[in-house]
Amino acid sequence: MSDPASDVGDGTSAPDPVAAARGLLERVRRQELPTDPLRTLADASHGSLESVREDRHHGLAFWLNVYNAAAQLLLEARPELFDSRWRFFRVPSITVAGAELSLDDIEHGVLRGRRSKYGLGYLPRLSTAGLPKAYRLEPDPRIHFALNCGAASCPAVLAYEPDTIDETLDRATKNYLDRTVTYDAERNRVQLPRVCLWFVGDFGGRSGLRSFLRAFEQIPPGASPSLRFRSYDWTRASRKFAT
Amino acid sequence: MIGEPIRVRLRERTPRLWTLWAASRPSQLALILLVYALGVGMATAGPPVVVDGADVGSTSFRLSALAGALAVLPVAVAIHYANEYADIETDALTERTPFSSGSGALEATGLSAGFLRRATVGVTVVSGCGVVLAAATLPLDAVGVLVAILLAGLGYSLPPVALIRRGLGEFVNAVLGGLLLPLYGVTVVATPTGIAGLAVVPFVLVVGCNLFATHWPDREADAAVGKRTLVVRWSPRGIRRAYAVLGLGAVAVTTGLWAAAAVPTAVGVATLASLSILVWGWTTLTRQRDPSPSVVAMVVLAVASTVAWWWVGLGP
Repeated sequence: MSDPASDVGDGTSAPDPVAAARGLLERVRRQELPTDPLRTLADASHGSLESVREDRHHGLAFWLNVYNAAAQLLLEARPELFDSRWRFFRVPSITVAGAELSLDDIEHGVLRGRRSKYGLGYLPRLSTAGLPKAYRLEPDPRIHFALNCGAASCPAVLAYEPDTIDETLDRATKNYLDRTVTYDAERNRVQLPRVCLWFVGDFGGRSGLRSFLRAFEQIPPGASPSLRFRSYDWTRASRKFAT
Repeated sequence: MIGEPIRVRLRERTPRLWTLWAASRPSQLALILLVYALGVGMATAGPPVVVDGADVGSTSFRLSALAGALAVLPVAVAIHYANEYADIETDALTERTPFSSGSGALEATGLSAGFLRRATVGVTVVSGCGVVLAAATLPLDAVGVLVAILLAGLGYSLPPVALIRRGLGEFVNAVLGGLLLPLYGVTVVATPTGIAGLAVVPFVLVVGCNLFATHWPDREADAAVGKRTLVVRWSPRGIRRAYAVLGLGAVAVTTGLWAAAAVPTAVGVATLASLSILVWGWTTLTRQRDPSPSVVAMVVLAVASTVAWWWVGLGP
């Protein structure tokens, strides 16, 4: 099996940006110099990113790895920025195919298909991410249990591969929900992580959210509990890699 | 109107109580609480507006926010009573709009001016006690801002300074309601930075626009009693020009703050969308008595920016 941290191109053939994203995350995890994969991503041509645009599995794995790596690098380079959340998410944190992207650009401009972070999942995002429209993905609510921005309430960072993306996302979602969801059968009430409120539209509204909880075995089949949302702990907690 | 007979009956049966209620200007008190909430909301969004973000979930945050609201209410009532007392002559002469400076309560009940004078003194004493109590629970800079609001608010209407009669009223009013009041909200729960002051500049400018519009229908009565407001001093053309400068200034400042990441995108968008209503205000200014378009612009801006700041503070 190849080492993802070194799989960023050997200089003789065009480096694979998808492998570079995976390699970048691995280097960040190992606290190694990320210069090579960063350069590969910055210099990547749109042609070399075809699979990221055309194939949902490649797109999800690529952007989740890029986001999680970029967030950790930003936390290391400018930790003070995290005190101002709207600035932290807004500053350029990584360059992909010549486009300087912020964490908001990646999450709301690409992974959520250009939806506003403020619209509960129902409003379009005003600004563009600086990448062609073809990069946008249809929102998959499971990404909210895979993106780590460095806050204590964020899920653990996993490495995502195109071939196993659905299984890994399911596992990340199940793990996070198992830790954070509390179902009270007597009161017919369920307590949920805050991200379920912030992006409730991504889940298909409140009824879609209940179906999601049933699918991940957080509430019994047929149950339709009232929803309560926990507060989010924004305490800085970087380097929360899954072991 | 259904409410009118009830209001008339209350006025006739309990004229003193009704006067105290009407002269406190309940709708303006509601707006004051909204602008206070705007300031508290700014604090929830964290740096760079404040040194450290306020912990919204904590009991101390809720108690401080409540104490701050309770402390500012008697101060606002004292300022309104003082203004009512000072505006008795204008009220008697003018054909009132819903946004005229006085409620016209004394005129309607026939009570003497002395009644409101005593009420002003009484509520000012209560405000002073409130400030002392606030000093025990709120940060000192919040108490300082509250004292500044009380003193400037009384000085706005009452002699010997009576700033409104000297052409300074609009400036003082805009600074009081647009700058000091939201900053008071910030200081109650957090330590503001200079950016907090800059972030409310668009609101200050819109309050200024609103004052041109609300003073316009009273200009003849104001002139007759020697109240030299800016709309009394300036020509309609000059007023319209000043209104445009303030409005465009608000747009420029908001855009600059947004571009410099001094305010979040949600606040920038909410503010700019609200400012567009000023176009309606400008097209009707000095051409109709009713100042509603400008009042709507100010209220919509207050509501929209309050929601935006809180959403940024509580949201993702």
